[in-house]
Amino acid sequence: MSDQAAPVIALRGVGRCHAGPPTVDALIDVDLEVAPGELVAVTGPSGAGKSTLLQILGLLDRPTDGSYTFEGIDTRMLDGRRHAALRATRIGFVFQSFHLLPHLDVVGNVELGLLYAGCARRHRRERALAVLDDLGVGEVGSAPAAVLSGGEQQRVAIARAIVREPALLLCDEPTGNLDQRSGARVLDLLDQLNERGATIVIATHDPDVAARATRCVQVRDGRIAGAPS
Amino acid sequence: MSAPTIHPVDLVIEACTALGARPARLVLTVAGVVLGVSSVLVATGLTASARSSILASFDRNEASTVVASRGDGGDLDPAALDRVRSLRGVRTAGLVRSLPGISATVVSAPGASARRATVATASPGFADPAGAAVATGRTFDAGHERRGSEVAVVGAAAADLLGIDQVDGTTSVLIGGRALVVVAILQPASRWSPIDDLVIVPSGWATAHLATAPSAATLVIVTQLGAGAAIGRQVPEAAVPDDPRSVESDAPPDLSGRRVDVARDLDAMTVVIGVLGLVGGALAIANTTLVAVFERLAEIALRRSLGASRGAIAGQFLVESAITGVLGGAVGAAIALLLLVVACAVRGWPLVLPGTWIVGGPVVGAGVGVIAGALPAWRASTIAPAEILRGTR
Repeated sequence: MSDQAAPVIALRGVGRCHAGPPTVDALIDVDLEVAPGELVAVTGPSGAGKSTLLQILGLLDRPTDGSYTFEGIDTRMLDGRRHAALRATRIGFVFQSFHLLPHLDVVGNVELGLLYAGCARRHRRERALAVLDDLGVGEVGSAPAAVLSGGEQQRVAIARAIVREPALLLCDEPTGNLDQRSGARVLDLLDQLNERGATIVIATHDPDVAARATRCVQVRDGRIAGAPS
Repeated sequence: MSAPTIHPVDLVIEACTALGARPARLVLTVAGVVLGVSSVLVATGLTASARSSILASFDRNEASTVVASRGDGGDLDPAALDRVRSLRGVRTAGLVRSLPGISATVVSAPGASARRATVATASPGFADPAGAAVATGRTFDAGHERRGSEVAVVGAAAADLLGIDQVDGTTSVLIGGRALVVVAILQPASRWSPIDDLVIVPSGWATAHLATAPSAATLVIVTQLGAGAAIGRQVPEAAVPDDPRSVESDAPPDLSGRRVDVARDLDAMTVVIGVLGLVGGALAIANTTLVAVFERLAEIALRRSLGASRGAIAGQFLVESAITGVLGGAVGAAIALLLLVVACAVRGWPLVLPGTWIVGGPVVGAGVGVIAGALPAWRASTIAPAEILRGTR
């Protein structure tokens, strides 16, 4: 973690209890800071709370305890519309199952990343094509998303996530549905983005992914490993 | 940091793209709306056309004929006719007076008959209030009346009885030993049928040449539409001011109330059919949109992760259902128009096009779409993306 820069993310005593029955404490008393430009791997077994942590970081979910400060903004003070605004402009998501819309072509899927950010239609297309070229999938821009290979689909999903140049890129098991070779190419891509200054948090239980991270955070039973229980 | 926005044009494009991704479903949903909207428009159009035809029939048969006579079978003063004509609401009136014991036979018609027809006198212009058009010839007028001309007009049934079928100036009837030239033959009367059996002579001639005094006088009065009942009440006083109770007035039942009832029933029928049709169309949209919401949970979660607000999600589903409604409304209006033209041509009804409905078909469809899509849209907006992405739903 950088000592100079203000953290992009700062969690203080964050808890998330899912209403039951039975109630489930998915996260308990989590403290976490991520500085700009870090590539943090969140590891742990299935059900440990990694995805819940990412959803809270991505403002898709709210903590039931504690505070979450994103880019210096206490997110507890923001309503749903403001959370959506931050997701639309400052946060990018990459999912294990890609979540591309099959009725859109590749460019259309990437354009979606700008749809809710108030970007004009013409500029959306220009930026989508530029990002696709940058990630090496420009040649499949007009193809239906459904016909791409898994690796290509994930790269398109990454393009959709970074097209709006977010302050934070959240990746939930980004290589989980890919073969080793495709997974390695996706990780290379994330490395490149990180080298260009992107702040990335990856939830994974793949040791290869964790090995590439600048920092590794282990989650077990909803707690950060090493934290007092 | 400003709130996320999506341009309305983008919202429509997104909705169209999503609808176009499932063409078979779109067609089936639109078909449901088409059925609903077209049934509304056809019901409205047919009702308007049928209403026009039915109410025209009411107009033709409206309570517009009043028949009055003395209860004791006595005569009425010819001045009674002038007083009745002066009543407000009377369009025309005539006075027909029987001549007891007087009959007519034919004296010069080819194939002359020995049969006898009843003779009566009448005021000039009597045929009009009786609803008896002239089949051939020309009825007598005030001049014939004053001069006591020896002319006669024969009712339709009387003409058949006497074997008279033409008016050529040589055909005469013999009444009281005198020959009167037949100047007109009447068509069957539509309002006062007793005139069909009569041979009518000017009262001036009857007074001069017949010893029999007129009796059993009958006033036949045609009123303005809807005034029949009121005139029927006023006639006795006007006809015999000194003894109105001696006059019996026969006004047909007032149909204006029934006319309103029928119009109201037709309107109610239209509303019921229309509401049922629209509810059917709305249910089609609501059902399909709700199913689409649950089928597209992952898409909803994705859009939320990309920054879509709850309002943007609701807006997209609302616009999708509105577009479905517009399509259904437009197609439904076109089909309804075609059916109306065919139905009215077959039934011989006047084609009364409810222009606002035909033009408004897509508008109605959009309204139905918005209403039907409101619940699914709200439901879509409340879906928590975290649950979907976590796989707990």
